Amino acid sequence: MTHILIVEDEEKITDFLAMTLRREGYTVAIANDLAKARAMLKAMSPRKGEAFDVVLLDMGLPDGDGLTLIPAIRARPGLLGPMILVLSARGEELEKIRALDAGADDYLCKPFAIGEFLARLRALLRRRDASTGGPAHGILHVGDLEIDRDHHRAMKRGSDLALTPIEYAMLVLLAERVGTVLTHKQFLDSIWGKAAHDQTHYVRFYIKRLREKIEDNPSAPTYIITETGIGYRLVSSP
Amino acid sequence: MAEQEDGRPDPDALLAQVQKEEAKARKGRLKIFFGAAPGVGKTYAMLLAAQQERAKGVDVLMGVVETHGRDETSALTEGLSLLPRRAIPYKGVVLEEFDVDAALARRPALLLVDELAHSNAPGSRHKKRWQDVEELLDAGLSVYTTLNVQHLESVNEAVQRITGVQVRETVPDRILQEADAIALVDISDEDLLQRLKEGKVYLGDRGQRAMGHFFRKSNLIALRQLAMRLAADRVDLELQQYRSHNPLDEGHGGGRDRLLVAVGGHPEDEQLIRTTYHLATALRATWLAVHVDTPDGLIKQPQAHAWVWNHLHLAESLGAETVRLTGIHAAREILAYANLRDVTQIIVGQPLGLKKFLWLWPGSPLARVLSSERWVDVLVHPLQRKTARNEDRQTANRQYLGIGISSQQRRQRLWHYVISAGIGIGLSGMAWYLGTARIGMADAFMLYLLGAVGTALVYGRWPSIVTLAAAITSYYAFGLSTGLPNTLGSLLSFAIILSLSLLISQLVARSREQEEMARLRERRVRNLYNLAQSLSTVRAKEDIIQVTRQQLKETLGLSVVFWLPDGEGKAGDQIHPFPPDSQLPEEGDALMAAARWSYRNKKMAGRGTDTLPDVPALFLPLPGPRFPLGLIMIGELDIRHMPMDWQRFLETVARLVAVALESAIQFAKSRDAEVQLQVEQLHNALLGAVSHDLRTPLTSVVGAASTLQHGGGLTDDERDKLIANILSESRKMSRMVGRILDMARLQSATMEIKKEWFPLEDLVAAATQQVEVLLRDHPLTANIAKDFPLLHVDGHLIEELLVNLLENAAKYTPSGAPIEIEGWDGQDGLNIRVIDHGVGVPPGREEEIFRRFSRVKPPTGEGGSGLGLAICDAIAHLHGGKIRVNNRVMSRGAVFTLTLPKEVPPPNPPEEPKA
Repeated sequence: MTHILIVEDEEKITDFLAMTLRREGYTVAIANDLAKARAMLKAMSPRKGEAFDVVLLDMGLPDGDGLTLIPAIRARPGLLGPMILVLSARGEELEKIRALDAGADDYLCKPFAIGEFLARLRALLRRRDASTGGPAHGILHVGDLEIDRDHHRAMKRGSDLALTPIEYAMLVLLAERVGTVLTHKQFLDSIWGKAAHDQTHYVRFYIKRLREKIEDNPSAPTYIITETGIGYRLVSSP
Repeated sequence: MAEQEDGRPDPDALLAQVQKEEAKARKGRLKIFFGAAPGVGKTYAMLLAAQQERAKGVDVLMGVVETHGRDETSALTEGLSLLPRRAIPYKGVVLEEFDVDAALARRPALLLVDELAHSNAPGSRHKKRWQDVEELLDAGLSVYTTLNVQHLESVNEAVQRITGVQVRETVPDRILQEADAIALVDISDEDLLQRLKEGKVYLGDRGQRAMGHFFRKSNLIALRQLAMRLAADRVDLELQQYRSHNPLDEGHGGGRDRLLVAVGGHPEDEQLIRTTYHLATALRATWLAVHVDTPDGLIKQPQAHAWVWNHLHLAESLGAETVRLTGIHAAREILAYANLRDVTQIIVGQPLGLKKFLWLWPGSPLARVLSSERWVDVLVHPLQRKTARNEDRQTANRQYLGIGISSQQRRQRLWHYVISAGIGIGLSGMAWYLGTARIGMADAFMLYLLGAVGTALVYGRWPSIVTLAAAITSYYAFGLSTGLPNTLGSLLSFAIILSLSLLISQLVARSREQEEMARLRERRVRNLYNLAQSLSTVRAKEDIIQVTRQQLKETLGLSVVFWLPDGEGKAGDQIHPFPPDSQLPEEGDALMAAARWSYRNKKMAGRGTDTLPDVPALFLPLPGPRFPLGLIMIGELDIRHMPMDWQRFLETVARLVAVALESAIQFAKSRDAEVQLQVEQLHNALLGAVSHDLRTPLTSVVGAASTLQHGGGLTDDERDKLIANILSESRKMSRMVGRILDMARLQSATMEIKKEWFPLEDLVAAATQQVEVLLRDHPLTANIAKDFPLLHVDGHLIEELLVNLLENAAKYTPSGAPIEIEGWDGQDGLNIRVIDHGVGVPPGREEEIFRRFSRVKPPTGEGGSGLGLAICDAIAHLHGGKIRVNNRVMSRGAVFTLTLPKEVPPPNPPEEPKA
């Protein structure tokens, strides 16, 4: 059973989310303000195997900023915490980055279509399962791409893409979290180290190269999607 | 007055009347207890009236009451509260004066202020008590006061003639005329003399002395007559005013006389003005005081200007309309003007001095006036030569011109005399050296004449006389007189030389004075002209102040500080020096007080004026519609070095600056209003666009959703179609809302752009993602030069720009036609092009389409909000770039080109070895 907590004050939104999620076979809890959300999170006892798997978090709540809830969700020691999907309006990039930096796993812009929402949710759950699955080994498949982590190489439709080490590292980062966003900071931290944290153009430079190698039409990419102002996301081809 | 020539009320005059009445309603009421002489019982009468008011419950306060030790009077002060006087230390003595501020703070319903003509002690706010009273009235306080007839400005001279005593403390007549009520306090001469004898007027032997002079019976009768006449005149005036308001009530036609007094530049002309005033009052006539500036007069008597100004000022204060004409013949101008204004009587003065005997000389101005063929009375008024005020011409001239004499100049002048004397002796020495054989007496005298004229030319009149005197003395000393026919003859010769050289030096000196004066006057006019010219070039308040300060500094050497109110012109506004860091003299509090007074009372204050003359600066209000627009503070003003009519000059400056400031304020207001209007128009247009553009998809959504709600009998296909419509229309709305927000953000001044370094490919990729659906129909090819550098831009904004261009391209292009994006490093910047194969831009609208709400109907479907390209334009500008459009030359389609400035890109990430 997958437990999902919806933290959102707009009833119309909780209605259709809960409806959809229940039909998809998830169990749903709804909190329409921060206080209730806190109480619900506290009431869960991870030791007994009770825990939310995903928290859908709205940013603007009647009693405060949804952002403040993220540390409370993450700070639970021991077992793996719930995945956090932030729901926020367009044009609030700074808020999204703050949420992602604080520990949120992905975000979704309002308004969104339910198909997109479910795809994100599944991607998050997949990632959660993958991260519990131990070290990063084996072959990852994303659309026509095939990433061989044992031999450090990537192929598309059977032919080697001849990626440089950095390109490969970036592709692996993206592929391991396929479907969810990676911020510039996350790329910089894991590839160039903290010293390069403000050189966001490094990321863009290599994404451009990576696209030239993996995309059919680099000007209209289908694998690596730009999340303007935030980072990139790898999607399995539609 | 309130009627035009045709008898209809003049609207301007009516308006003035209304304003006057309104002003009066705000002002306090003034009652004057008016008497013919001291001791008639004015103070007593005033106190009696005050006691009656008190009995009615009115809050009465005694500001100043002089009982002069009279018991009956003192008794009447009982029960009335007394305002403590203000102590003013002056030269070691402490003087006590009426405390204006305390009275203003206490705000009684009725204030008693005795002795209106009193002069305040130095250090008081105003020089005269009547000024205090005016301020109290302006502040809305009602005042009872006392006044003797001899203190009235207009009868000042008459009183002097009657009594032989000069009264220096005068009160302007308008105070009496504008008073709300007058109580004439009169007792018979016998009673007054009796009271004087009993010591009730003056204590001790002062009474006896007074009886010998001022209080002679004949004097008293004359003074009483004068007082009664003035009081009667005032009642007449009221009647006249009442009639002029109520024309129907006019039983018998009031006099429609109009008098004209010709004012010249002589101090004596003051008498003419007073006479005309009395005549006009008696005849209930209006009167004009006219001066004609003639080129001749201008040159002959420079100080006359100051007199003319004083005279016209006096006439104005006595209720005349003052006019200054310019012409060659004074008489002709006056007659022409008199004709123009339907003057019934002209008053001119009888010439003084030698001209007295020539005044009927056919060419004299007076003769011309008298021989006029027009039907007009001419009154030739004899004038009394004023000796007391006949100052040294040259001093007056110098004062008028503003030339001070410093000690250095005085030393220099002494040298001039020494040199002149030296020249005289030198000339005699020369004659002696040459000897009588070669140089005769006549020759020697010619030599002296030459010397005398020379010194006259260089140093002036007196040095020339010194030269001559020295020459003549040494002539004898050198023993040159031998061989002279006789002493008498030589003396005669000397006398001739002396008069000749005096005459020449006189001419020379005068022409030099005239020249100097003309130069100075020209400079003054030029200063004003320059100021006006510089003011006309600036628009902002700060600039006007800056220009004025600079001009005054450069041309007059005055460093001024502006004081500006912090509000929109109210009595309560605080005023502050501007610029705020201005250096103020030390007495900050006194300056502040003077500035505040000047602002609230709209009058000059400070050094050189009658109000707060001890404050070390002069405050000059800039006349505004209700309250001054500000003040000019002149710190280092040495009045001794200023022209005699310097106040007038400064007033002109102030008026110039005020006009400039006022227009600056109006300009700013109208500009604000214009901006406001534009914003409103924008909002309206936006509202219109939004309501239309949002309503269309909303209609589809509501329609589709409600169809589904009630929808029995729909096929699955139909249901799917409706649902798809709801989705697509909702997305459209979402996109539109986003765009409106973008536009609002771009328009707001707070918009900050966050620049980062981007490869163009990344931006294009991000943009194409967003219009993915649209591009399914339009294959996109990007053709970006290999060496295209990183762009330093706000990623969001450029992405938005590209999305807009791509959407446009898709919208105006037939299905299946490709869209191209190009990027290359050009001469003028980095160029990005979006090229389509659509209908192109309508010719002539290449610039207009970037304006808000400018729409071009696409071949299929509906036009957009008209915001897209406006947003693109705004974004391009924010980046210091530009966007333009042109149609393709060889084939159909539009080309949008964005040009961004080049910037030095950051280093690329470190290269890595190829895998």
